[in-house]
Amino acid sequence: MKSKVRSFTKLRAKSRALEAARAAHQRLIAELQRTQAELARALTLRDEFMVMVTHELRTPLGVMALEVMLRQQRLAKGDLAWFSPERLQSMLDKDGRQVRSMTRLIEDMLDVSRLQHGMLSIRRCRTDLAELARHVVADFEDQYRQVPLSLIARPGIVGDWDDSRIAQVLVNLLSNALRYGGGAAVQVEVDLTDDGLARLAVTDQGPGIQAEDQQRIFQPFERLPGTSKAPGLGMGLYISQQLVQAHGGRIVLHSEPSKGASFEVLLPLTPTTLG
Amino acid sequence: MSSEDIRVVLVDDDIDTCETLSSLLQFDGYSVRVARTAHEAIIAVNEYKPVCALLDLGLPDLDGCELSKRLRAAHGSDLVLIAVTGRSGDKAHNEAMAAGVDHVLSKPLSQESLRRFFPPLN
Repeated sequence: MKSKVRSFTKLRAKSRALEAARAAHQRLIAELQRTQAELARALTLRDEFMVMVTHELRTPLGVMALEVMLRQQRLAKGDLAWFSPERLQSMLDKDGRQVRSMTRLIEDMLDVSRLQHGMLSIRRCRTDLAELARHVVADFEDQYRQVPLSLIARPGIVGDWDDSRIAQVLVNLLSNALRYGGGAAVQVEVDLTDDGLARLAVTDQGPGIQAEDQQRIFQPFERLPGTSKAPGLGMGLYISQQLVQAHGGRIVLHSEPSKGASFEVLLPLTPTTLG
Repeated sequence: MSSEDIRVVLVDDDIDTCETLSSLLQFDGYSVRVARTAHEAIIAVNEYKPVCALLDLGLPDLDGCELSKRLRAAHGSDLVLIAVTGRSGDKAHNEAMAAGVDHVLSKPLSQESLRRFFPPLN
């Protein structure tokens, strides 16, 4: 009887060990499957990113290719009068815009890489926020003549910020507002909050952003539903938020469906962290 | 029909693309009206009554395929619709064709691809 009990105990111990080994095996398989799925997602993201980059390069490259064609045709026809000083200036402006567009694309890709490796640097200098906003808005007015664009700026808001990075944030927010704002007026505001933070806000009157999308759009590669064919890498808000956070600030989004969207950049005037 | 009568509506939200493409088409003898949004395109096609609309599929206010469907529904087969897309692959092409587009051109446009549909009139 005792030997039977011993055998039974041994068998039960073996069975438990087997069960534990089986469970560990299952966990390993599940972990492998998760890793495999993550790798597949990373590969898909990389491929989609490559498609987006080539797509984005095609517009400025296309304009330059067509411009070369147009100028060659005029030259071949001996139509030198067509190359008036005004026309030459306009050509230079146009070429400059294509170069800037391609440069910006490359800079965005580099920024994403820098952010992921913690290598983004901020070079602070005394910056007048109203002045910075005026320059950016003036550039956009030339490009988006069909959309009313206004700037309400309180003068004298000066802080220690990386001016080119804050301009980059405003360019990103304005590009989105003009692109997705449905052609309605867009407003840029510069002022101070009650607790002494610089506030740079971009407000559109577009379709608005659903509550469930409001966090997601700040993630890399994310875009709003229905905008997959619109230009852009889906990186602008991600980069902007990281840049603002690197200044110790934050971006706050206020939006309701069909009531437009307002992106508020809140920045401390000096290098401190927001509570 | 004189070359002046061959009208094209060009639809693209990129101002530089619009300017350059319309200059090229005008150089070859076409009359061109530009629209920067789908909304402007619908008005331009209604008013200008072009033979052809050359439209970019990535527009800010309405998907280019949806615009194509609306233009096709409103103007029938008399209007030639040529889509321009920066996306490669069969999917983009097939979606545009299913929306009633007659031809699809890929960006960047070349002189050859443009002149296949818009031969010089002068």
